[in-house]
Amino acid sequence: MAAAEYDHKRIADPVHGTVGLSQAETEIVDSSAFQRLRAIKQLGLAHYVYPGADFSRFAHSIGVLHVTGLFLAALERTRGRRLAPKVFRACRAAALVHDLGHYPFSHSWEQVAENHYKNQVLEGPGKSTAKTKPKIRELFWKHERVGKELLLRDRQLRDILARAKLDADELASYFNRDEPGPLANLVSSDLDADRVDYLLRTTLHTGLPYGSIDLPYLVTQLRLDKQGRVCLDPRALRTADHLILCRFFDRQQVAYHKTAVGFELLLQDVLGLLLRLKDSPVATSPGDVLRRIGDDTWKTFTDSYVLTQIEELAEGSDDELTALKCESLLRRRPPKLIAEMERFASRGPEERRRFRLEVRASKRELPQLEADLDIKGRLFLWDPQPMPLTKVGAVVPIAPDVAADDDEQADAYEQSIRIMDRRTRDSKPITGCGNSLLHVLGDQSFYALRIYGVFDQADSEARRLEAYRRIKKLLPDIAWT
Amino acid sequence: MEPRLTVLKLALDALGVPIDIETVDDRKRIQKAIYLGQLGGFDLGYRFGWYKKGPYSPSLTRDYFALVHALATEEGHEDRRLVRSYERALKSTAPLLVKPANVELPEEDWLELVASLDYLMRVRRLPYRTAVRELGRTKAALVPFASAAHRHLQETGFASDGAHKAAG
Repeated sequence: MAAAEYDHKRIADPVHGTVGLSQAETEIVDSSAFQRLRAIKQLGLAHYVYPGADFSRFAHSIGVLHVTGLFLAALERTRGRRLAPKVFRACRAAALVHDLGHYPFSHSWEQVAENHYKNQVLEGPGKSTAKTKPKIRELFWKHERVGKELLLRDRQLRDILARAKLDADELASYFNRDEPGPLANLVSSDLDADRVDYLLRTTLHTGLPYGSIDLPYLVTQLRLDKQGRVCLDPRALRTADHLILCRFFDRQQVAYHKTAVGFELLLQDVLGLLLRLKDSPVATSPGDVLRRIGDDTWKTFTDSYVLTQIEELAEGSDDELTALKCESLLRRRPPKLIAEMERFASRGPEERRRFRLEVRASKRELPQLEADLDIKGRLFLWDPQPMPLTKVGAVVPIAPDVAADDDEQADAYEQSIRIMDRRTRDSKPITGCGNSLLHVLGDQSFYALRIYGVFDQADSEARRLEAYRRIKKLLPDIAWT
Repeated sequence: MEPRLTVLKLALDALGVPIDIETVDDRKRIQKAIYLGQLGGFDLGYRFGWYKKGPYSPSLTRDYFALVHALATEEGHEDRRLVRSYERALKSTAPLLVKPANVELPEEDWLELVASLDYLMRVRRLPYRTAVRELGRTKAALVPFASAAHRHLQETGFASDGAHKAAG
């Protein structure tokens, strides 16, 4: 790369120090659509638990751009020749805009809204009360698609991309993994700039040490294998093991924190209420998204906009429970954790089946429990998919051709952190290296179940204890704590 | 069950595809059937990229694993159905999924071929001959049946020069 090109503007970043931007990148950062990311928190409501964890997707996106630049420069060094400037520019720009399309509260919103809009094409019990069907046949867009639409339709961004000769479809293909080439893994994989910046930034802002990965060393050990795939020199095996464990501990301590999960469940419940309002002020069908992009109101569609709507919902609602949920969310009164089950076990089918039986029993008994305790609509079950430490287990295909029989396995295989064999210059997933800790741990998954309750402040502890006793009785085969 | 999973389940029901993900072929059948199903105009929101076995959607993979989990852990989803017009849109693609009697390929390979050919011509906008050459690079065993697949797309009205929207 031409260093001067990326020195058009310098930004001081608490994680990476000085971050250099090109002129086009500076213009993207200055655009309304990108500036909006200042008002979308990276970690949703995690700052209710870790007060410093209120950094935005704006800061994170600039960090991802910077790390991508480091990775690309490292690959140039290891190849001994430059990447085409066009490729270098596109990859950095894709990293910069990868989060552009996030809705307020990001993944929580996406999950709730997708269910809301898909419910509109269902009939039968629990059917949608919406009077009108969506006018266009696409029901909902995930943030990657919204990001692509912004690149294609937002006037400011379109002009910037045109001046810089950057192609919106090409940029989107990096974060969508449309046709993932080796460099796409720098933006989306087990060893991508997104994860690296996320971990380092979360560590800095939460005050937890778990995401302290060794980025400077990782960068020096990046290689390309003989098939052109991004991988690591075997010297970095420990660093790679550490990175994956960092990610695991980070998720355990931040995303899976008991209070953070409680707020997350509550938030999703309240977002659902907001979306179901007649003429909902937070409507996000594809038509609504296009309207917001077209009339330039997308830039005001932020976390704080949604919180204001929740405030209004609380004030205007005659329903006591709705008001209680909104107030709990706005005044930081977390749902009570009533009971939980956690264990590490094999990622194999038998353990998955056992877990499914536990989830099934819990889902079956929950309505009865609510009825018995007269607390309808106040209990939440959290049953995340079993969480393996790596995308692929320890038993990995020996040859890429075996993985190629199955696109799903091949995609996971391609996205794994790969370690190079110096002799053959081929590489394999870290879980396939006998001297990697992940070779052992890669076969394990983390299984968890939790039940939360939203109670009035006055009698919440008594209610929680009563509910816990009932759960133990109704579901005696689950190791609740 | 979450509506997004119920919609996926009902879509697979409408297309006559079993919700079975045990084998590679089972999962390939689901991937290609949903890709082709979306050609009827009901976009379920799955975006497909070009992978070794043709059009493939990682988010569909996540959803069918979640669907199987939900089916094993939840009750009471049996009495929901798709709004008629959406179901019709899906069912309009059912002929596309039916393998002609004279094609001696396993069903899932046929679906891979039809979906791949369509993707190359519709999304990548390759002319037929170039698309077949591209198929030959990774799916040589399917190439002898490419003309049958092309004819099938044309006869069922889903050839990419028709009026149907892109699914990729």
